[in-house]
Amino acid sequence: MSFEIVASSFQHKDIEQEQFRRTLKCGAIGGGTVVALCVFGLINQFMERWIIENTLSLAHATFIGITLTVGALICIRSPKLSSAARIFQGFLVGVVSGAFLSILILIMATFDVRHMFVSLSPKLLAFLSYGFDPYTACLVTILAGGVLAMAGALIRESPTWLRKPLIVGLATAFFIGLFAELLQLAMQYESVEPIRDYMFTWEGQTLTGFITMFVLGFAISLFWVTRGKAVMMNHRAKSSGSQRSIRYFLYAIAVVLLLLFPMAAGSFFGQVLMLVGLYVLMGMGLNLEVGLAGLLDLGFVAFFATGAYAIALLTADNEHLILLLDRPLTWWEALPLAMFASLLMGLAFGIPVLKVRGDYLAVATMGLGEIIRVVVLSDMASPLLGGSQGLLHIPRPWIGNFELSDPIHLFYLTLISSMIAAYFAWALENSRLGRAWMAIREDEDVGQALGINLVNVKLLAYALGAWFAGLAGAIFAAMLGSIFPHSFQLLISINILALIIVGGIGSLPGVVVGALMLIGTPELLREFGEYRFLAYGFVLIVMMRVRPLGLWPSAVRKREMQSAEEAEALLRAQSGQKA
Amino acid sequence: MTIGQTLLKTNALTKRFGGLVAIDALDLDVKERSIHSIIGPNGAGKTTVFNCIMNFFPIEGGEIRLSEERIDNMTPDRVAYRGVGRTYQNIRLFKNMSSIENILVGMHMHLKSRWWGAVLRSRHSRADEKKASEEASRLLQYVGLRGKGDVLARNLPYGDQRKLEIARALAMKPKLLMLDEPTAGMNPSESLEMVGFIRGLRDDLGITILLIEHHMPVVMGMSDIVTVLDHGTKISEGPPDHVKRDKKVIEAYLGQSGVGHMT
Amino acid sequence: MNLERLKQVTYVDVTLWLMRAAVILLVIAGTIGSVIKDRYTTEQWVSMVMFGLTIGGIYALIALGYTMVYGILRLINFAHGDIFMTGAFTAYFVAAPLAKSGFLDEYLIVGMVLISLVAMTVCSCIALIVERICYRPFRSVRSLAPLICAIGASFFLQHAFRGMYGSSVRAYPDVRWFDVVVTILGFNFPRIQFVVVIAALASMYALYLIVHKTKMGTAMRAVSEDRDAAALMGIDVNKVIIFTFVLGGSTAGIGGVLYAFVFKQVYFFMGFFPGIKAFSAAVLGGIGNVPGAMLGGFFLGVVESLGPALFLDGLGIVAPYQLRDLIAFTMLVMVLIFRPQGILGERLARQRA
Repeated sequence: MSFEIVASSFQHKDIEQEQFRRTLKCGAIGGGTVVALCVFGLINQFMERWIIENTLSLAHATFIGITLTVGALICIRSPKLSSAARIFQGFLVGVVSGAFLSILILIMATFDVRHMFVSLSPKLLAFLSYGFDPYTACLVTILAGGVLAMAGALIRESPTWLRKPLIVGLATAFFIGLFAELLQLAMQYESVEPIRDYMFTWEGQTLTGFITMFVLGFAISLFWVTRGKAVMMNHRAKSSGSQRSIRYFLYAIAVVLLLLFPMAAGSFFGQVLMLVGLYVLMGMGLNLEVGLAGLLDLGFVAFFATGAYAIALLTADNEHLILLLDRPLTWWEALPLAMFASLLMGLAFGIPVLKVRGDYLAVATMGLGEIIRVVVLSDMASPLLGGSQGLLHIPRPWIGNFELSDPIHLFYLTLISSMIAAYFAWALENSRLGRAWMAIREDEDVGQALGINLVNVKLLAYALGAWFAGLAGAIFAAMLGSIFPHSFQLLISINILALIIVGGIGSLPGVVVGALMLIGTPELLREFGEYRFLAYGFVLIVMMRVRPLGLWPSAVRKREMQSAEEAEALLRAQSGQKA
Repeated sequence: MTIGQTLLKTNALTKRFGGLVAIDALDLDVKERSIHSIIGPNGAGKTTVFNCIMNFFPIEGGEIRLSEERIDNMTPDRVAYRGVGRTYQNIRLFKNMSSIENILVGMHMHLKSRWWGAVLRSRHSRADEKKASEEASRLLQYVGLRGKGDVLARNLPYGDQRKLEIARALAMKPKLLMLDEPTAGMNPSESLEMVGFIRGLRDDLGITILLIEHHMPVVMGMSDIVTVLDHGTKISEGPPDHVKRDKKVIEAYLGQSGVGHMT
Repeated sequence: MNLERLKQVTYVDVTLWLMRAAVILLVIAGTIGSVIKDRYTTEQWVSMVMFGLTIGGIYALIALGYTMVYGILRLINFAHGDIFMTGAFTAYFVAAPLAKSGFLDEYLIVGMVLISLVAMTVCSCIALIVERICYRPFRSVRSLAPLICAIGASFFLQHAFRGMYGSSVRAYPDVRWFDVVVTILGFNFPRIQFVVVIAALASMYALYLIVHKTKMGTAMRAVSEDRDAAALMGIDVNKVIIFTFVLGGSTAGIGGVLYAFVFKQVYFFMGFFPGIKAFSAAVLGGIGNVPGAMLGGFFLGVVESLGPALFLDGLGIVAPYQLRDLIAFTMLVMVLIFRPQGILGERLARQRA
């Protein structure tokens, strides 16, 4: 009996200790993140950007967001405590986080660390200490941390009908504020001018705009949380035919919006979309190689470069021009040749590495890609390819008497090309070749023993993949009007591989989602300069940790995840149907 | 069932791994429409024989002929084209593909459609595809996996995986089917069923069967010829009754559970 | 017999043979051309070799990290080049004040040990963090996830350090003793080159002792043979992996400091090319093979240093030094294609799928 009591008191102590450790850990995560953001210099950038004009900068919003999150996090992590205790935990976590930042403030106030940490500037110190002296600032920071994290815990503890709308409302207002400038660019029409002026100034979102957006988000979300179920039930109750027609109707709206949006949104969006489109096109090509045939390729940019250079050499009126007729070819005439050149490049890559597998294949293709880049860049090849000076004066494609000069026109060209590429991938997936690709992805030796000619199918994967990359390169050359070797860095290969993996390997919608996420978003955040890559790296790691199958996994991969029981259930259902 | 002429012949087949001689000057003579078993203790080099015939790795000496044609030095896919199909000791299905897709991959070399046909959806390629999937369903039914075509291979029960692997090999329409321990892990009644099934392959489809097996009742019950390997050399060959009585065989198996079954 | 074999030769084989022949021919033709041209003096040749050995020693030190991690985890640590950068970059902030105060010139050995210790600690810590975040969650699954995570980590490290220490190139301090030119057999070399080669050899010897003579080293070798069996034998695999990353990080740290004292500059992107080349060196020597990494490093360094003058100049190529990277990449690709097991042989080639 007494033993049990002792044991349980030990247990109690254990739980207490564990709780204490958990609090410290959560606080350290929050505080560490905030300090890291300061040290890496992100806060310096964020200070310049208003979420609410002259009131709340992105830096503030970041601090608030992180603290709210850790407050909520500790609540999720300690399910055994009572609600009130959890909220108190939230306060403690916030204090710990605040303490981290305070230490940074004290260090910055006491020592001059700028020669080492270039971002820890007086301006940052001023920002962090709100004009107080350092010690008061620390106190304020710690208290503010505690209160904010407690608020986070409170939100977490509040009932769903309140919590979700709150989060959605805040997020809506935040993102509208973050992209205020872009949204204004897209609202250059007189009809929407009053809304624009109500919501934004050129500095950022107005306070009234913020509140409006928050209320709007809150209301819609509230409606969905309280009434959403009923709506869905209503929808389900309808016949499957009308369900399908509703779905097609939604798809149609989405497609029309996609088609019209770039035209309405102005040339900046056009450019971003154009770039996303190019990456989608290349992603579709690489998807044939990596997604279907399982051939890792980090030299993909070489195919893209081949397409671009072929177009430039055949069409651009400069001293490097290759004359096939008595005049330079037009873009359309050169296009098939450029794609053919890329295809040959694909074969030239594929043949040597036929027997290389796995990670080694990635490295070997990367090496080949870099060889091409070094050669193009060198003086040796410059009489032929222009060296680092690049090739200039590439004409744009014409359709009849209409020049595709605007990024948006080229975007539509890219869109059509991507659709063709997607169709290719889709049609091949269920064909003899597609199955052979999947078979060698799964087990090369067995595939070969079943009569699959590895050389042919692998080379086809390289060639077809390269073909689409060449098409992308040709459009790219037309878009820029001039090309330089440094446009064809290893980074592009990495980007393409990363986007198809983040989107979900082997999945066609995944390519689009991945490109929007990894190419589109960073482009929209271009003003943060090189920090985009910091975020990019971070996103890659987080994505792989959280959703290793990608954002939109292919049906096959989803099937892989199905447990054996589900499959059995499926079997039973099927045999039941038969019987 | 009449046993015909020589289908597969190896002459002094030799395979070394580093210093280890896995197969030493093996002569094998597999007759058409026979069921020919290879038995031997663990590590006797049985599976290596299969791998050599399939040309998974180069051989060090000797030659392999299929219907008089040299097939060593060929890549595995060409050997497959000549009509050799096989299964694996540790089942090697395409685990993330469905049963029917596995079989369709097996039919790869008999399908005529080209990739541009698939892209353009030409009538020819659609017809080809349709015919293929019908045949694949028939094969599934033949091995007793009816209605499981859409199940991923990895989710099939063990016995079904074995059957699917055989179906995949059959899809190649082989002249010579090499089965690597088809009854491994099966209980006696399942084994018996498998024996009947393999006999059927020979009797109904006229396929020559080369078999590696550990279950002595299975081997002795259906083989026409049994070859006994030990340490890469052939120590005995002949009809089951002859092999059963061979002293060398009993010696090689001495201490192994096989002895009990054989006598 | 031979005719039968000839029938089976495909266009792929022919292409590969042509590639091989072309590279060999180019190298031979270039060498002959250079010899005929006779543009360089013996002294220049010798100094090129010596420079090659220097840079090769650094490649070798980084290559060890790739090779050991590959041996244990069968995984290419793509972020290793950036780990090398973190150490060298951070150590700058120790080296600069030490040099400014005159301490480094006065007590060179103490100073260098201090600087190296800082670099080794930073590299090891970062390597451990990368392992914890990017590799450990995927240890038991075979997928592309670790590769993508490693690429992510590489970006993150580069730009985190860029944000932290700035994007400018920082100049490592000059150390008088290093720059003194010594004369051996009538040839002149700066001392730093000897220091690098000797330090690299010494580190490698120390590593050899660790791997072959200590209990932890034995455990490492056991894990690299068969992880599951080692775990069954009571080896704490996790500890072994951590130890491996610390060792790899430490050698990268030493390499980083030496690199910084040879090239006198550090910046956030400095890890990329040495990283790729060190990886090539590891593959060249046979990945998973510790002496191989050393051999591969020195070999790559020398070839890369001699190459432009020896083969490319002789071929009449303009500005051959622009193509120095080409030599490294060509070697990498050729080794991967023709001899993926490397010069000394990959110790664990059979298990690689």
